[in-house]
Amino acid sequence: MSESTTEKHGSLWTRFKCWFLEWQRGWFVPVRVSKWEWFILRLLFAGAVYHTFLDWHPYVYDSQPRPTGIARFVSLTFLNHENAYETMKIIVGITCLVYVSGFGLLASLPVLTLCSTLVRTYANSQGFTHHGLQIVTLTLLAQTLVVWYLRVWEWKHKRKWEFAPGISLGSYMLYYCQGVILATYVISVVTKMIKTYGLWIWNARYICIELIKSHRSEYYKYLDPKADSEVSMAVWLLNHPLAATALFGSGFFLEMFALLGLRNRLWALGIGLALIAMHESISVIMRLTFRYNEMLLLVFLVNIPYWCVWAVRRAIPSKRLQQ
Amino acid sequence: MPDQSTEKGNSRPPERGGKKSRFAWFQPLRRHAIFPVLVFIVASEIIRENYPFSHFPMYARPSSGTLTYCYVTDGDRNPVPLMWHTGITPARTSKMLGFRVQEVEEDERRRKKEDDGPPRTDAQIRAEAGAEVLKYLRHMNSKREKRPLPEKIKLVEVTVGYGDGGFTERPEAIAESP
Repeated sequence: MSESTTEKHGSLWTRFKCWFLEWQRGWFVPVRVSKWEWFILRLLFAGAVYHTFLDWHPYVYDSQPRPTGIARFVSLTFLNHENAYETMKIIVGITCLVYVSGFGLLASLPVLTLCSTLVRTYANSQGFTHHGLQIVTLTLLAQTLVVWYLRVWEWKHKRKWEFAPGISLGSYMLYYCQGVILATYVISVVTKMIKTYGLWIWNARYICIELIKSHRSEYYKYLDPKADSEVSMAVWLLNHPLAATALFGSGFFLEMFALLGLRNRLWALGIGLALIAMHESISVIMRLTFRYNEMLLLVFLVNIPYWCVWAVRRAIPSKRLQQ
Repeated sequence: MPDQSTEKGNSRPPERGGKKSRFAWFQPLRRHAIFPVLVFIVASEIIRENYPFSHFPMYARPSSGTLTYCYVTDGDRNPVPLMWHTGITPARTSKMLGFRVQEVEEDERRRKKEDDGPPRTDAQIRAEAGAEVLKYLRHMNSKREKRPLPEKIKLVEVTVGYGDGGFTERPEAIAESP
């Protein structure tokens, strides 16, 4: 460390920097992922991807009045064709099977990413943006970029990519799926800080008014009497601004430090469970559900199959150890 | 992704003169596996709302000001279940109204520059935008033959504000069809 840096930042900064560099050394890297684990992750993720294509609503729109993304350059109104929905389901279904098999990832992943992008771009080109499905398409895109990066690297260097001992393609896939999922939360925090010039936490107490809006919007969907009630939680939060700041602020800091989930499997589990709990509380308080966010957190971060096998292996001693 | 070109004997030449560059910290970060994730975060803030990228601006700007939401009623001001009739949620209807108002306001600014006719009031701008939204909702309802909308429908915008230790909700019909 140069003297000028120590003078400039003081010893506290230096100590923190040394501590952080030591704390992260050897962590925040891809972990060992066995073939069975990578297979289960593909299977569960393919199920979530296919589920997104069961939604027929985007195919009902017959124009794109406010084109966004690739809809600015290409008309996606072909999705309004009467057979488009069934055709897309067949294409995606077959491609999901190829993806789960683990073969042909170079082709299956771009196809799934493209199909997901086309359909959801068209849905978001109607004049209202929905943010519930970006996470699925971004995870597909991350996996596509991983396989294609390795392929291009091998083509450029005329040799196979050599993984570090114990590391495989599944390791990178899991790492970057986790990375992109957690990054979406960090992005929302960055946006909050930019839009409020860093004062989001101070203004968080005003989110209580959003509860009124979301509850009423839920009621006017179907005029469900169960949804027509006084939003007592909103009034309570309004009259208890410190509690409101603590409640929404805790979610803010959880999102800000979401990338800690990349440190190792245990951190991934903890951060994954915390984010799922955050989504569940949002669902109760604000009547907003982010099903696919929770699904992908469960698959890639909580990763129940891995922990089940881990627990079984811990409980049942290896025969080799007994000998 | 980690950089394989630095492994297996492909070492980098030593720094010239033994001095560290100001950006020496960047090289290890660039070679770290997490670097693409950080690039993705920055890229999303730049690309913003272009699917699948987004800067996720939901609840990004809480303020002490008012909020609005929309719903649709029949001619007698009885609310209608919008999702059931059209497949469009009230939340999306509010967003659509917001975008339409922006478009009409842009058009109004252009007209002012070109001195093209008398200026429209805020109420007229909202009425014009609201009429477009109702037209769209009728169009979406036309695909649901067994769930016709009432003959006359109105778009009601509710302004939610603070007052008397709670909230106030002020509805206003801003457009009707026909």
